[in-house]
Amino acid sequence: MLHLGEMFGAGVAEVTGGQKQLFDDSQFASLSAAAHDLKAPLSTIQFLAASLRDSELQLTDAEREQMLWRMQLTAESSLKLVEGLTYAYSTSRLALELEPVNVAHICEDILHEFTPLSRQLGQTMELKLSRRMVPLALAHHSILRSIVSNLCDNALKHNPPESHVQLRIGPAKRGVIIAVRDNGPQLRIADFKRLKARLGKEVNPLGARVGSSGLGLFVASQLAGAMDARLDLSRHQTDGVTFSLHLQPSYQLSFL
Amino acid sequence: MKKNVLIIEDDLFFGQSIERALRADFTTVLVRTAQAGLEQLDKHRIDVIVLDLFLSDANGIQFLHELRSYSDTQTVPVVICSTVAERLPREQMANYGVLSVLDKKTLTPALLRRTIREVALV
Repeated sequence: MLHLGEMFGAGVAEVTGGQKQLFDDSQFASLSAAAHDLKAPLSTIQFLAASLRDSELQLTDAEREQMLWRMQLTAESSLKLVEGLTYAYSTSRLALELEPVNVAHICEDILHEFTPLSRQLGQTMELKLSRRMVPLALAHHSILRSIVSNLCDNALKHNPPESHVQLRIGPAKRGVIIAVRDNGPQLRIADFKRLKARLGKEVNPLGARVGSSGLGLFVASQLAGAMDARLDLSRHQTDGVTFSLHLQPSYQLSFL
Repeated sequence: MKKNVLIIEDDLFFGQSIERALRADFTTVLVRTAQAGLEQLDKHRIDVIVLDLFLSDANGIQFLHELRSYSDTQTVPVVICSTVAERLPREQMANYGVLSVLDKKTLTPALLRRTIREVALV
């Protein structure tokens, strides 16, 4: 049986005849995964653009409008991934300046930002705030946005139409938790264990959820680590998974 | 009577664009998982399958194995539509009964229509 992993050409970048290797194995895997994850949305944009120019399709104005929206939303989603990758690259080289951050404000912004995409996908999103007081978190504002955006994008991609993504914020024993739950296909226990063990350690070219390289999650996990935060995963009996981001609390304001 | 095309594509935007490209000539059913594809094959007479390889519950090759293991779906023609089309070994694809491999990166509605029309005639 043909293994799809072979198509990614793992191990192709070998050093031969004293040639310098551009990337080590892990960088090469990340690069291959990034290329794959970006080829898919670019292909969608390309096909939508080609469809708009196809005279045989006899598109209505509403269809044209919808297709333009979808091109824009697909481009935005890809740009978020690229932005996350850029952060992941730069945070491994720079010390991050963390500050007290109101996670509710960030999540409200993200929810607003994702509303057009969730509508186009026939899904709904909601933000649920804990009744208990949520402390400020110690984080980097842009990077936290990038992580939560990646998690929301991942949830929307794996959700079936007419389903729901829930964003929850609550206090934890030592900090703040942001959880993103989807209703995607249920993860088998073996796949769940594998994904959990690999979370943040490597890109999973053909991971537990086969359609995804796991790059978005890899990026989210790397960025979480750079802020001394932690990304965790839990599966549900019925369907879907929850990704939880555990952030440190900021006590700065309590001294005022 | 229009022929039935089953589209198995986990990207909703891409899948609906394929439906739109084929709607004048074919009746289409769009599903996003391999499992849902197999269920549709139980329910309807399918004349052609358009298959993406990277699905959320399985990969397309696993689907092809499953498809070819049942006597009533052994001969349903399959067209693969993938971003890794150039890396697929044509001979192995032919063994799976794949009649055409389309590269998503350069696909146009006209090429898709032409291919499905040809395959549906086989």
